[in-house]
Amino acid sequence: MSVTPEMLMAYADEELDSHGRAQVEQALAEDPALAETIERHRRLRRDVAATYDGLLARPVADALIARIRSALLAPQRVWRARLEAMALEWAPPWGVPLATGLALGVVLGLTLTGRAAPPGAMIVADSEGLRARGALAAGLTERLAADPATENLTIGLSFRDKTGAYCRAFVVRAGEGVSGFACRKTDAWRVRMALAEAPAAAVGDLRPAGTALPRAVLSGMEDAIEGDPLDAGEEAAARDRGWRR
Amino acid sequence: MAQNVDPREQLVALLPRLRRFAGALVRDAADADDLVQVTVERALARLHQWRRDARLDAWTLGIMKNAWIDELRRRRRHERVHAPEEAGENVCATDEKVEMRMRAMAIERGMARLPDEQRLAIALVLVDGLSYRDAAGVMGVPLGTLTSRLARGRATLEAFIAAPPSGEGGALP
Repeated sequence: MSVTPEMLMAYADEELDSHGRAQVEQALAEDPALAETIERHRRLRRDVAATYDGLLARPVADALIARIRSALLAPQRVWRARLEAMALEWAPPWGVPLATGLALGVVLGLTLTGRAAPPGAMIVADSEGLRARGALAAGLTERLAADPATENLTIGLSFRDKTGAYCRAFVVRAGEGVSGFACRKTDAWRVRMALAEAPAAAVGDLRPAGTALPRAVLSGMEDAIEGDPLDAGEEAAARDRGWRR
Repeated sequence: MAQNVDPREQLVALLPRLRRFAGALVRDAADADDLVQVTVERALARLHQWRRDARLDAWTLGIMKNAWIDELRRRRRHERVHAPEEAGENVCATDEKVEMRMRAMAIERGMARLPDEQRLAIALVLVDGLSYRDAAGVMGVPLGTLTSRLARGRATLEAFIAAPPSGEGGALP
């Protein structure tokens, strides 16, 4: 029985099923000259591969590798866009005098020495790390992201971290300001990231461009988040459960 | 398949293969690098469309195929189809025997003269090593179309190596 030239090629490329192979092998037995055709296909394949295989060893540009590694995956892009849009809404009400932010006084107090934290401290260092307290802790516990920001404290986006704990972003506008996020652990808000930088406050009629969270905080949250951020309903439900998992 | 590996890392691991495939499609090394670059950008922008149960390599090669076809169309619109160069920039074979080197150069020249769809079939199966079925998937054609393009491409390439058109230089010294 005769075989087609394409079957001989597929045989050389090991692409035939057992039935096709048997057909070709029977034809080979009857006409040994067909072996030359098969060998020619194999030789061309080897030579074509050898012609281009040298390219595999060529170093790839580091810049290209860095470009790929730094690319945001789609879910990150989606939620970063959401987060940035939300951050814009956190801008304080128009015309708030900047000086009122200073009324908060000390933001960070240290209690490791055993001394009491200064009154008004919103982040304190204790034996377990950084803990939110005062107005910040109260805001993290009670306020929803949709609630209007006060002039000196904004609570934003809530999400779950990889352990399932609830985390929330915050911006404190006092002094240099502090941006970051804290996660609920047992009965305290542990501050996972605090950057001494707050988005610029609105001045006059102008809503400044820099109202989004600082990039470093966004990146920190991207590393911490598991899944999507909570929507308004999930956030309210989590608050009503006291932020317990 | 390593489906839980960060797709970005899978893409980084694919880069040498993308370079080789690009080198088989376009002869000029700088053009091949550009093709890889464009492919990577498109892949990153569409990574959310990639289904994790699909093979990232075939998916990415498909993106490169489309980018290459777009570039061919663009060039043809501008009537800038350039003649194949004499030197084989992509061949890295300095230590090989002269005979092998000549044959590699003839293959490169022959590839540049193949009709696009035959060159694509050869690049996918003989250069990248995809199965017929996977190559047909990348090309978006039935299996039979792939095999006939592959067979015709091979025949043309062999004829070219055996008897290059005058002025192209022989396959053997």
